Amino acid sequence: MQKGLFEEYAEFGRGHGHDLADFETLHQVRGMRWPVVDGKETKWRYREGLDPYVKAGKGVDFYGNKDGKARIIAVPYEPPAESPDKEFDVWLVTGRVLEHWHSGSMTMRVPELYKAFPGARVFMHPEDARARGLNEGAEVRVVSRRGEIRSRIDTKGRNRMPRGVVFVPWFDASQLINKVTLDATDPISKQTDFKKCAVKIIPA
Amino acid sequence: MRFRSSIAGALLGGMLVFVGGAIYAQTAPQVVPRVTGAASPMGDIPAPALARPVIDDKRLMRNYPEQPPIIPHSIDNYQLTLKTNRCLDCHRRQFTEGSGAPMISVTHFMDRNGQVLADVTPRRYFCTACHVQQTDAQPLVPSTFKDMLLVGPEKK
Repeated sequence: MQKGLFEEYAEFGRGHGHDLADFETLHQVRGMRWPVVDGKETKWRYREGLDPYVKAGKGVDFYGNKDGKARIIAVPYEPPAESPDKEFDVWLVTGRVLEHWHSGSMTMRVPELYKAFPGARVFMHPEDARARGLNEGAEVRVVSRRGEIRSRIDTKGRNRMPRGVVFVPWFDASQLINKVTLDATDPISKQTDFKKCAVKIIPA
Repeated sequence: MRFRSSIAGALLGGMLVFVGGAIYAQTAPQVVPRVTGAASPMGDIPAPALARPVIDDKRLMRNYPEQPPIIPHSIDNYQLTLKTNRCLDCHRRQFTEGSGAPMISVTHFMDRNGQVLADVTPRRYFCTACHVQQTDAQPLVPSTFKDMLLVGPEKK
């Protein structure tokens, strides 16, 4: 069945530069660079002689675009919507941990995964913690201009933080770090800015 | 006749309500804060203490053959950097006689083409990328996971 699904999917790409190798071949090799035409991978894409889709005499041809030219896009620097200052003095970075997929609605139910990483915490540099009188495991408030959560300090776990930056994963529904994060959107890429903002860490 | 059937209907209806109630009681939404969010998610929710790592030195059965074995001992303050690897001080082949620790698996000597090297291959060097500790946290919900030996047509 996997083969049927794969071959049906692979049909969409074949014949116009997205050719995948066939099912059996991909099980024998570590990987192949596409397009794979007549069983041969393409080692240098858009290059005459190496990419079978580039017509003779063209040299280099970005055939995906009508004029055959590459698009190189430059964007201006966009400063962060909020940076640490005197009061909110550390960067908060949010993200994930290996054990939990997104909000953990499934992985938190797997005993081994849950027991390996049972809840969110604040990863912090040991000297940042000492400067605030916080020990490993101490309960703290992560406070921004928008909201706060309570969590626990981790100074020696898997994430070794640089000075001035804390990390809080967002999978834990009982510690909603998005109460703290920023309601901003990058004006160029339109990405929401949940990944970084300025906070202060105070004992709970 | 009509009277008896209405009694039977009432009984049957009562049963349905009873059974339905029992099913609902089993599947009714429960507040499990870490999965469902706290009862008042926007409130001031205290953070429970960090769970403690299990460090009883007991080697546990793997849940499936390819599972990376878990770390059953303390790894507090272990250095695991480009320059030094505290784990290998015991688990490297040449140190296992003195330490009594299990030798790293033979797969960890193979490079990506299957060539067996004299020492741990760089792509297997960062032990904690796969091997983790467990904590004493109690599972949030029951699990119905079955060992693969117990499922399928041939039960062993």
